[in-house]
Amino acid sequence: MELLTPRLLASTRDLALIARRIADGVGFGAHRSRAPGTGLEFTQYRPYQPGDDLRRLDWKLAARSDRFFLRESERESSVPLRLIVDATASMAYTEDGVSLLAAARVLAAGLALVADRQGDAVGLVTATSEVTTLVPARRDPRQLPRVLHALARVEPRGRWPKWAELETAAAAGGRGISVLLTDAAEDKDEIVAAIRRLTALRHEVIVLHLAGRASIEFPWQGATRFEEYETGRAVDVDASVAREGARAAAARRLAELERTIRALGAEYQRVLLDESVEAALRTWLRLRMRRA
Amino acid sequence: MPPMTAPIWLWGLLALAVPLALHLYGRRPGRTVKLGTLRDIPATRVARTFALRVEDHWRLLLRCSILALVGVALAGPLIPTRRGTGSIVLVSEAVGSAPLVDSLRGAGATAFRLFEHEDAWSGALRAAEQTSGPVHIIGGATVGELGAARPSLPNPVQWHRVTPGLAAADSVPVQSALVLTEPLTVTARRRLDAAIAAIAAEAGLRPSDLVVTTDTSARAAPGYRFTLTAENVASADLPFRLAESWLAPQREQAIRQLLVPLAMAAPVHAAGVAVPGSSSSASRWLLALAAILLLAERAWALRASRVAA
Repeated sequence: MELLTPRLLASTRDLALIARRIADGVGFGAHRSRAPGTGLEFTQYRPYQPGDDLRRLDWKLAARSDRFFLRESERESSVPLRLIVDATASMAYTEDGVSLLAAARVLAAGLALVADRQGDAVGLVTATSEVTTLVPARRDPRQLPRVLHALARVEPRGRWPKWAELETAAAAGGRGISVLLTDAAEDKDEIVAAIRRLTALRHEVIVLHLAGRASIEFPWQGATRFEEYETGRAVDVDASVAREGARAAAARRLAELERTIRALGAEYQRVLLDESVEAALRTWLRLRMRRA
Repeated sequence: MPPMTAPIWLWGLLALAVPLALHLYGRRPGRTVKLGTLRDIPATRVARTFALRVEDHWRLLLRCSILALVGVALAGPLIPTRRGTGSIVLVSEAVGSAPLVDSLRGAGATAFRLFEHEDAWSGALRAAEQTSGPVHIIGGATVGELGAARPSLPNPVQWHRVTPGLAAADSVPVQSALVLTEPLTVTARRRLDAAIAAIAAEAGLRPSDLVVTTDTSARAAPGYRFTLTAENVASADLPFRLAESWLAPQREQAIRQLLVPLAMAAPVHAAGVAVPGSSSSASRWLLALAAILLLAERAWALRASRVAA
């Protein structure tokens, strides 16, 4: 099986397809936690929707009455998933034809699909100068296509929004898991501040830090002008000379970032564009199972 | 603008466009990379901006002046400081031209002899540095006298081709020849004696037929005169040249050519000395200056790169 890297996944534009590929490729199903001796405790019925796991279908009921309902047990309480996608201009950073935003898109799509299959509510927040949100009041079968459609449309633009704009989007939808997909390219620690606020809201936060390998390893040579996406600042540097310092600084900064984020109580997972997305998804899964 | 001997080289000044272009376009780095953040890039001494500094203008001036000096030096300017206005006669050595020279001298020209292996054009160049008047070159039949490339001279140059004085030679018996020479060193004298002995032997002349004397009063004597100087006796190929003429198919004609009267009725300006002054002295000064400036520029560039590194 090929490594499911963002590069590979971003090769098609059909997000639904990609999402299914991720979900199937990583082998997700409905992972139920079973405490010994309890079995399935029946709580409620939910109407069957295409794509739901057939193992949870109440076959007896179907045989009796030709109606298809899923059994939902108490333990499978829905954990709302809130996807916060960083859509600032710096996410346009591209390596080998794959931009960070494209990687964020495929990851978000995969997570959305899996969460939906789990029966979780999925919401999407795109964080850019103008914040848009799609947070359902409840679980809605039409939510997933909406989310995928919005993801497909998002473009990298602007700067990280002020917390006030994010707050409403973040607070709505109840406590759940917030997955922040970002490149952490911030000017004055605004992203870390947002994470702090999210954790303060008692959300479980997973930070999926997207990065290109080149920005860590600094492979460029010779006279180069480096320009920042969001501010437009530029500096002319001899890249070969600056390489050592840049690598060290990048490693330090990333380690620092990871420490800070973990110290805030959030989960941290770095996703490089040429690495499999599996690790990122498993991080979410672990958290999800803990809550289940 | 002083007259130039090779003004075609002035087109080389177009090369000044090269440092200028490098100056204007070189400051832009080749490639732009967009990143999410610049925080990792060390902002200290390695981040050197490529904007034009004041220093760069001076360096441009320095480089352009080096190229300009080289270009002008190659064009060979003639500095008109010491120039007179008289005419100059340049006489190639082995040529009989007494009447012509005398007549030119009578018209006020100064006569000089060309160096032994010097081609006519180099001599003319040096003559042009001395004067702005006409230059007469009296040359023989040898193509070698022409030299490589004709320089462009501001003076009018007139070339008189004179064949070795065969006509004048006819009336004089071959057997008698007088070799005039200035006082020679022992070695030079030995060489001369050897050459003459060899020729005499081949020609069937008696050595006594070829008289070698340092007595300049003998100049008035009839017959062929072949005036030797310390320089051309000391030259390596004197015997060769003597023998070469000797080996010509017609022996008699060869001997005549060999013993052609040099025909300076009056002493040469300084025996054996050709046109004074070195050739293209101005060019040499300009090239020397360009070399010094180049060294200075390289030292500056080296220092600048050390500071930045």
